Amino acid sequence: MRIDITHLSYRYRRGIDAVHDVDLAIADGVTGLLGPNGAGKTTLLSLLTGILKPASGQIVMDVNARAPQTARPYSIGFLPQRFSFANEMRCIDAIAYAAWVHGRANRELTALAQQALETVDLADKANQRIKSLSGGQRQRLGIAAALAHDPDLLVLDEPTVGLDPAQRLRLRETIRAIGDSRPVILSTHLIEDVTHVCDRVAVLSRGRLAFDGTVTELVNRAAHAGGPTGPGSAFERAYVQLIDELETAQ
Amino acid sequence: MNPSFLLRRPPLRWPTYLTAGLLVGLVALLGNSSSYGWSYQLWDLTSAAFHQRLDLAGPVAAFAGAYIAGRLTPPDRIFSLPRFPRDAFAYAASQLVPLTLACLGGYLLGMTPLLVLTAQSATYGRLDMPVAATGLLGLVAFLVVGWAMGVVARSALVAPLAFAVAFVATLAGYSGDAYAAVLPVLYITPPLGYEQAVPLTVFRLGFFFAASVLVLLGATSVLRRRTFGRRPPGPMLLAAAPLVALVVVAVSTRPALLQEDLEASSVCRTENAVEYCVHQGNARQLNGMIASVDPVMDRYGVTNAPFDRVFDLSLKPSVPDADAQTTYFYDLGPSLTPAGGVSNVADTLAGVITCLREFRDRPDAPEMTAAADLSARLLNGPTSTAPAASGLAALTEPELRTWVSQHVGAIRACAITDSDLP
Repeated sequence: MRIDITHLSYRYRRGIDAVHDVDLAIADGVTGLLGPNGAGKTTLLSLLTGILKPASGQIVMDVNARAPQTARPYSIGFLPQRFSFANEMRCIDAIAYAAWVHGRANRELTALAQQALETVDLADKANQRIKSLSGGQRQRLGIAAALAHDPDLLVLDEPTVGLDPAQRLRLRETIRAIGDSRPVILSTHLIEDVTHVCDRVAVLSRGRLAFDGTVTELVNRAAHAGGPTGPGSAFERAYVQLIDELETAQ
Repeated sequence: MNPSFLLRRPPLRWPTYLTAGLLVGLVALLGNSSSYGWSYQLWDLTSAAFHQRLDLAGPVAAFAGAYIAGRLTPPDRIFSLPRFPRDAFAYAASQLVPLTLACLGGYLLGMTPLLVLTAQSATYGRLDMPVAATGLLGLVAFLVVGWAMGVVARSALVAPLAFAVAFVATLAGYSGDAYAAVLPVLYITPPLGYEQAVPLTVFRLGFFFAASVLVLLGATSVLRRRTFGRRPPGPMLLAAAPLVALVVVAVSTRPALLQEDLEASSVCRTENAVEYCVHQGNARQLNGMIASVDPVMDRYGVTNAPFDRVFDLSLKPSVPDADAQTTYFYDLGPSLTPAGGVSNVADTLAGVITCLREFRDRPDAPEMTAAADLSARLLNGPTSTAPAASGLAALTEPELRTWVSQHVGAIRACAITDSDLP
């Protein structure tokens, strides 16, 4: 599957350009969406998931690249930064209901829910109530809910926030594995998430696309420019340098 | 939408819905308990119980609806995110259908003992299906309104408020009949001889249906339009506008509450030249009424009595005015014993009723005392142990009838003085 975003813009009522003339191509694998606070990441995700309608530009999804034999319209799985479950529900019921809400047929629900739970390594918790899950497990259950209807595109907004290192590591593995089968857009503040998980990275700054390429390309770009040395990973330093350049330029 | 999903896999599993249904059924069951001990039942009362038991079942249903919506529909719920592709009506149905089935099932179960008792003991009529349907539709309206409150409030914490609002709506019926057409609980029960007016019933059915649909439309519109941010419940206000119009129509036109039951028939028997008749619904009390009244009439003398017909009060609408002058209307009902009204018959014959009117400010007037003594004598016969200073207690039955015939004018006018007494 391939997603082509062309000249995408969105302006809030109070006149702020949240996203401005963004061109971006997203293919299979995990694409990291980086940017400082207020860069427009959440607005771009909302445009991608249909919560907001673009002021101009378009998003074209080539579903047939993924499943040419099916004629169904593209679908998106979205895990917002803040989400909740009804704690009294059993895991499998919540995931099956999520699949149903996203339009899947009744006969498919149990299989879809089990498959989603297996994907996030929660199959053994299927019949447990959600209130018994840890924070990391709930986060993975959220991804399972977003995956439940087998979407063409998975959009994750800060999925690792609030998790301890072990939980974060496990979730990254999960996201990495999901990225093997479909495009995943991962919005995050955490550089480590990007370096460990993402094939590509898109950096937003003040609503504009400041960089679009692989992690290695961003690091190389910084190296060619004689970027800063010191603490932190090479990618971290490259990202900070890019943001600094943009701030200075603006 | 395949409805089988709603039944096979409701979002919160069946025990949640069944608990709500059980509670609804329990309050209905207990609400009817005062009538379980009656010697017989009346279909009119049983039909009315279908909406009257909403006095608590309705608020419980509203609580359950608000709870379900509060648990499932907040926009940060992972299965309830804004812009989900499933149709909002289907989404609403996935939550409301299992709850509605459970609550309606519970309610019907709660009403079953009364239905069975009525089927076993009622001697007239049948379940008034449209009236009973107003109760069931009213229950659905409570559920939908509660659910809509949960959708708008986005929290199950609104459930107690939904209960309170619904409870106030049920209590509003006590304020009179001005809002009878639009309030779920109608406290006026048609007495035998009457039935709930058909236009009123039709309006109520239409109103509860419209209310349910409009509130559901408003709530689903809120679901469709919402984002993560808060929005005023504009669609709910839009949905409320036609409802307000219907309420205005109902309040301004005030449809009649009751109409005569034209199918009503009577069961009669003549005993000692007195014709006794009861409504077919009270047929089980005819013998008891005769057994209670006949000795009193015999002691007074049928020819002396101002009436030679004792009719069930329920038959009054069907008795012509001319005949009503010579008819005593006896209050009967499943919660009354046949002997309960006989003292009133004795009081009427003895002139006590007239005396109470004439000597309202002088309860110790000799005329009043004489009338009360005569009433006691009519009730108790010659072996009475009641105070009998007048000597009436000492008279034999023929002597009493003779004395009455000699003073019947004074008795009816409450003019018996000490000198008239034996």
